[in-house]
Amino acid sequence: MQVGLYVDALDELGLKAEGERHGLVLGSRTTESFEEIEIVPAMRLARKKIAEVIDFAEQSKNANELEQFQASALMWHCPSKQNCDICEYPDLCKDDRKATDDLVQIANITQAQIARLATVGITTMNSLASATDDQRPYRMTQETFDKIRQQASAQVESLKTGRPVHRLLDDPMIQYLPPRSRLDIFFDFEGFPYFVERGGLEYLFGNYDWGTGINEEEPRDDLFTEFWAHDRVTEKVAFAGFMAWAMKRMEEDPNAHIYHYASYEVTALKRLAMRHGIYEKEVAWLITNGRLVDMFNIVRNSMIVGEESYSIKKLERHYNFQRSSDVQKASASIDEYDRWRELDALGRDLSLPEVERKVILAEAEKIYSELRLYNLEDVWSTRELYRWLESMPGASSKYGLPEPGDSDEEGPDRKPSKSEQELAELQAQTKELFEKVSDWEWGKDSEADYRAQIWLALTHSILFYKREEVMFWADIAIKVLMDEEALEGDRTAASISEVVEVARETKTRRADDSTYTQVTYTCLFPEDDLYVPKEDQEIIVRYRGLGNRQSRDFGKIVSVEGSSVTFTRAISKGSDVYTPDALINKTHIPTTSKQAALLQLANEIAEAWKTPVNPAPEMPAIMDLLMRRPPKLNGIAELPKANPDDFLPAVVTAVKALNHSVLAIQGPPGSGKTYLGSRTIMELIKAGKRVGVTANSHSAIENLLEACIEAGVNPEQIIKKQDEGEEREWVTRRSNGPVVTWMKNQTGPYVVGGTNFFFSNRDVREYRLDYLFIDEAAQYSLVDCMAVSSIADNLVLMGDPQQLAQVVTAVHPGGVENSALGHYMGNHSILPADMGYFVELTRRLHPEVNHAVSWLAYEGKLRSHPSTARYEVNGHEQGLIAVPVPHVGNSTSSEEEAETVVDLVARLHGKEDPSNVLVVAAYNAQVDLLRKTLDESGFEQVLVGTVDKFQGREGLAVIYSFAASSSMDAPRGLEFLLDRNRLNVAISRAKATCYLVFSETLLESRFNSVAEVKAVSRLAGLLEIATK
Amino acid sequence: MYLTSSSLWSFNTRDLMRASSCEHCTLISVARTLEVQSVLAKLQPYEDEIARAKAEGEDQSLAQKYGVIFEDALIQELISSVGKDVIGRPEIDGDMPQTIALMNAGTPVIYQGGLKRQFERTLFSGRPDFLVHRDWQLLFVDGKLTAQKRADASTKGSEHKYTVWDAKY
Repeated sequence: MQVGLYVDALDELGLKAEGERHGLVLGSRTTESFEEIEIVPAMRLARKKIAEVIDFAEQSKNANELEQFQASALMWHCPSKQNCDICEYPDLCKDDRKATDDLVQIANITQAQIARLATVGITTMNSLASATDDQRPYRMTQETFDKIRQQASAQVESLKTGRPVHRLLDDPMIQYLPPRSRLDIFFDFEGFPYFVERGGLEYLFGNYDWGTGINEEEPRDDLFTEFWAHDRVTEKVAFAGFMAWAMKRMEEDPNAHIYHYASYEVTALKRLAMRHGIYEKEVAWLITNGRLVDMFNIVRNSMIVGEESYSIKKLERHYNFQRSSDVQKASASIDEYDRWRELDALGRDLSLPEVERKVILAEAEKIYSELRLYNLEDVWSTRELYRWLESMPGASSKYGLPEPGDSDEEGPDRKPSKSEQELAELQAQTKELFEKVSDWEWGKDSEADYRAQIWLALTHSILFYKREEVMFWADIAIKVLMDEEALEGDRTAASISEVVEVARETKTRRADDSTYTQVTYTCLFPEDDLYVPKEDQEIIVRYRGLGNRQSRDFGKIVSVEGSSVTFTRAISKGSDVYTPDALINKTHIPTTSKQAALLQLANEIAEAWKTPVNPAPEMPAIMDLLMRRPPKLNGIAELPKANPDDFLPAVVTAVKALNHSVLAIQGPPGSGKTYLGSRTIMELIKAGKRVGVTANSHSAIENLLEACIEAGVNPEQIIKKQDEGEEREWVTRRSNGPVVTWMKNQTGPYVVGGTNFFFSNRDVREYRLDYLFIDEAAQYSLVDCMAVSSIADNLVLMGDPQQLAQVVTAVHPGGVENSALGHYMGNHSILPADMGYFVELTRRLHPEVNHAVSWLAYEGKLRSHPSTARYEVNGHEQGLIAVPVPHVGNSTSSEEEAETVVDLVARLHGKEDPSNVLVVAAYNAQVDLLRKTLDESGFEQVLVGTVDKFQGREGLAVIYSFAASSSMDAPRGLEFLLDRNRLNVAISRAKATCYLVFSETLLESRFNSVAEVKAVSRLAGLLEIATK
Repeated sequence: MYLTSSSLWSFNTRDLMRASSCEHCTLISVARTLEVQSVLAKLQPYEDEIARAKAEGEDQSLAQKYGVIFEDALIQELISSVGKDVIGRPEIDGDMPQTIALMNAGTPVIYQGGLKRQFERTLFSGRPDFLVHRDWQLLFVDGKLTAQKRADASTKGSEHKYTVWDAKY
């Protein structure tokens, strides 16, 4: 923010360097730079707010309306607790909330719930505690109402009596608390989120154990096992040390568990395994075998606690735990750790006088001991919490008893799964490749470092699919344990309600002829969820068994009609006595053929390369992509310069000249990427070449094949595998074999279309093509691209990394989770001229719309073709139009915005011609709500969809509805909602006019990170361009 | 926030952060500056507490305290790696006319300079850590901050224009 202010000041003085990047010099001794447009709009917006408040206050004062001003405008506390740490008077808020008995004090209450309670006049904790059922607000379920009312009542009682209050639930989960065992571990991480590299640093893995089991008055060092890390290298060592130590205990004592408080430890362990590429199998084993036990889950499902929050520190007074460390809060521990890092670095700075260094290091040492004690007390407290729980009536009484739903596969001694074993085998195979860089001296020669990085990426790519598979099952295990709030924010899982059994039949398993019961249910699906189930999708059906414990069965979605979903569930050992409460998507596609293709490719390259000390091999073509090298060309020295109004001749010349290499074409919205691709393919066919066409989806492949026919390719020369009933103009076959036979019989040129599964198929790979065109290459994963690359001599990447990217699974070692085009372009948002073509001319966007799009995503370099000036919708103004709609408490759907959208549609068209309007929303829930609202108003023909659905589509007018009320309401934060690519795709669907329908409170942000400043700047900058 | 002698509202970056996330905070701050009596009375006990913390030396945040150390270290590294010709500092720290003079003279890197910007009735004044001439760049070599002339410097024209770099650890 500060930088934005200075940039603005320089601008006023005429001393600002136009088009240059500004930035930060970071404590990690690196720099982070950004474009002016990424930060200045957010600053301007905040500054305007200050000016507005001043005007308002002064006007009130001048008009002698001070009393009124105070009464109407001045609240003594913030509506939310999010800003307390930047507030000048946080205690004022706290005291006033207490004095006014404010609802925000209730544990786990949301802003949306507070807003809904306010509609029925419930504004205090006491009034909620004594509310009757008939006071329940519309849009709040009885279950939620009961829950927050009970919570309020416990807190009110605790405040009145001054005593800790907890109330055991019926059938509490503590009945299933694993009994204590000799080698149990009580575990807690300390993390440093401000670490310079993506994903933060886990700097301390602290563990406490039972020792003799006697309750100690003082923390005991001999029961504390610690692993420290201060950078990525030592983090890997610490993680490996912790895993080896913990696994040994788990193996020695089959009844031992690792207890932790809240879900962070599990997700962080998983992340560490992926990040460092070690212990993936073991982490997956711990998770899927229930050896990691979340005590927070047990507390929450066993009792209501009369505290403002369920943090372990708030619970401590219930079991008389006293801390002695100075570092009392997690946030303080982060500050202290930051301080330690700084002091430690200074203390080692030999340019300082020794006396000074000694003083500094002594101070650092003190902080280090404090941090250690803080973590020690955390894990000690976790153990004491266990002792408290185990002393409760009924604790552990039902642990291990056979029960409905128990399955054979998950005993405590479960063997490693097939995918875990396969990963182990692959790891053994890649060992030699990793050893080539194991003692690499990084930082000496940047070119050599780059080669080593690519070597690592190549090696990690071999493990990519298996790692994904192993973690997939660990993820399912984590999702089975998620609470409702976490499910709400998850893209692949959702809670369900009103579950009714509608059918039941006995089925036979194909594998062994055994039988099982399949039950069919209908249920209500939350309309504002991020996960949208689809017909025929395989799912995990979650249910809560005795003691509220979550467990799972397999199932399938039968049908989806609005928010009513029908699904089946395969019953395991009588689990049907429990009603399902959540559905989890089980998308897992076998990758055997891709794995084999990739392994072969990587081994061939490694064999030719020998070691990254050598220059990287020139061939195959994928090497140019991996090394980010400009294309190698036959007969011409460099890429021919394109005519700005017609890129085709230059592209054709370049593609024809490719010499076992790669050419990238970046096509912004409306730049005619499909036109360019298909006409180039036509020229290749004329030249007698064999061409492959691939993309992630069949529809994208078919779109390009259709364009090839338009461009003049004979349909008889095109082939693609199609399912039965899918008739096409081109030659079709039902399976790979006959396609291969057809290819074998061709003597002349042809075009063959297929997904990455097709091109990595062993039989298909017997044939060699001259070219492979990869469409939507910014969504095509790098690893998939490698797997298919060996089919052709040359690769042509078409796409645009400024539009929607692939859904990234997890960060992999070596950065191999990137897309093919994303990797090739590196940090460039526009393809450099020596690497390919940035098609800078759009024939879709009216100059006014393009102004916004080009500003947002293309450094102002995208131009509109003169023909676009004629685009208009029934005389309405062209360009970006801002339509602010006030609302609060909405997360993924907003009725207020839906009504505004209907008004806009009506204004644009009347009811006659709705076909030129696209209504786009960020979330599925808003799409559903918009569909319903539009249908009710007679606009059934207006198309509604998410940004993802409309990529590639266009309409004269686009109405984009953001739905979330504020940054705090937006699931996955502003970085998702205001993601540059997502905004780019949404706006660039519009040929003439784009309406942004949004809540102005979306722009309120804490600016905790550069990413957040950038997110707000994007919207603020667009609003500066927009007319109101 | 405070009112300057010329009746401008002077604000700092923290005020800006509060303004963008918490209207309540900004309103209280403005009302306090306008000396609205009921607000002053309400704030008195909290002001007393702040004064007590200040007296006991608890007020300076770690970021402030160690940020200064970090900036000093960076400046020392710069001076020792590029020499005094490349870097400039106004005679009076934070002085805007002198800072402008240094920029107009084309000084590659300026530290301890000062910039002010008036917008409507608000005034922001601050000290950008580094103002870097567009022909130059800051970078770390062997973990130490240095400045180098950019390879493409000649293509950028003869006018003296600047980018802003702030130290943040």
